[in-house]
Amino acid sequence: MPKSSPPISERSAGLAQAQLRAQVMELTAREPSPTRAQLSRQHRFVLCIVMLVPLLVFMAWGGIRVGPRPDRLVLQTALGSTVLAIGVAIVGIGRGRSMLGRPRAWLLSQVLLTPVLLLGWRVLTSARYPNMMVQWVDRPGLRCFTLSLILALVPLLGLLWLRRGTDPVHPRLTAAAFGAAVGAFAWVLVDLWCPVGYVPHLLLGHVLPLLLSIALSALLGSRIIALGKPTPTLVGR
Amino acid sequence: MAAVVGKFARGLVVSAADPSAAVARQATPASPARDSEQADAAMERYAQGDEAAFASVYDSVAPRVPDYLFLQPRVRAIADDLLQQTLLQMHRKRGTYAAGLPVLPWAFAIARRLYIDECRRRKTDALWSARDVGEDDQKAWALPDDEVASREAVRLVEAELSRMPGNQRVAFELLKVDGLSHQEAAQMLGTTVSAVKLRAFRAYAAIRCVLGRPLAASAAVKHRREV
Repeated sequence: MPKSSPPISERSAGLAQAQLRAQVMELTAREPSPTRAQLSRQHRFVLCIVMLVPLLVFMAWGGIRVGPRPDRLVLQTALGSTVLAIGVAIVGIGRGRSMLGRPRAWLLSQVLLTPVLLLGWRVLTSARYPNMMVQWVDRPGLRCFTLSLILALVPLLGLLWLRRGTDPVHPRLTAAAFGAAVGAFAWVLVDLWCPVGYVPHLLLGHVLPLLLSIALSALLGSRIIALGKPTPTLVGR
Repeated sequence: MAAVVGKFARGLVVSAADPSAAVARQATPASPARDSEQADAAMERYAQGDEAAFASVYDSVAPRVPDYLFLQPRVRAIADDLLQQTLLQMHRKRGTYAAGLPVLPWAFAIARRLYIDECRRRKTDALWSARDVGEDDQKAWALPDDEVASREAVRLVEAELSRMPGNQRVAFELLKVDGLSHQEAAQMLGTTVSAVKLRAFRAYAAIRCVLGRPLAASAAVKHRREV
């Protein structure tokens, strides 16, 4: 019994699929994309800049100022906030075991808890030493505010650039988590520089820039790290 | 969406009429795990710079993306375009692929995002759904009684799906339509495996209820069969 050939509709569908495959192959061959090795070289370079610039700015701004604080307080504050910042960065910047990044709940918790934990740690450590939470009339927090924003800006832009066009799921939240992570590192440096533990000063000079960094990052992130716009393709072939 | 509903509703109706059909369907070696491993391995080679590996990535991803998007042959042009865009995005970002991470949820997430963007652009979701229902029913049902039953089931399930919370609906679609594993669906949704199971369970329970086959009754039938 002779074998029957597939129906015409199936054959034409198969042909269309083969044509599509060939076209996609052709497009990818025409548009080179960086391999992992090339990209990691680029990433290392950008990360060096991103870390170096805030450090240079910090040194130019005056560097570590122990001031009237006991050495032990400076050490405790810095160590605690560094550990927190590292944890925040691992959650916020790392992708975990998925190409889609961390779950929403993790990112949201990270974004919400970062300012609370950092402020809590600073207040907790300062409260254990006498006169470390008193008001400084000439230091409302504007200089800390400016320094925090300057320190956070370059790393934030660098991070967003590195992850541009990669997040198909929740770009705004991912970017907000970047903002929290970068803001946390800026917090560590500002903590080393600022001896004032007065809560309104901390809210204006330390917490507010962290929140602004999160907000700015979320705003930019929805444009920068969201999946890229589709290119004109072969529809209606 | 209507295609999903159609598939699921037909599944329920068929399995009610002929339980062996449902068993046979489940026993079919679809091997999504093997597909997934092949895709991961191919993507790993491609990320390292093996240009030829993209063909394997294409072959692993291409058959599953249109199914995932619930598209029908009549809208093949947009399915092809979305597939092409998805693969181009993966190609552009191949350097960001980290070894050992699952590729398919990534591909599906990209496709889903592109599909949503496309739907927003065209604002013709309702029209596509209507076409899907018509095509599904015409293809799958020959007998008028069956067709009536199917349409009714589709209508009921569709109404129930539109009523249920979005997270339950999506979990149901990922598991039942695309055949993702619980793990993959959890990654796709950015939640835990337990949460996916719970959402899907609630979706099944709601759909079974609306089709007049509540879980309690089904469980009793199953228990009687086992005894």
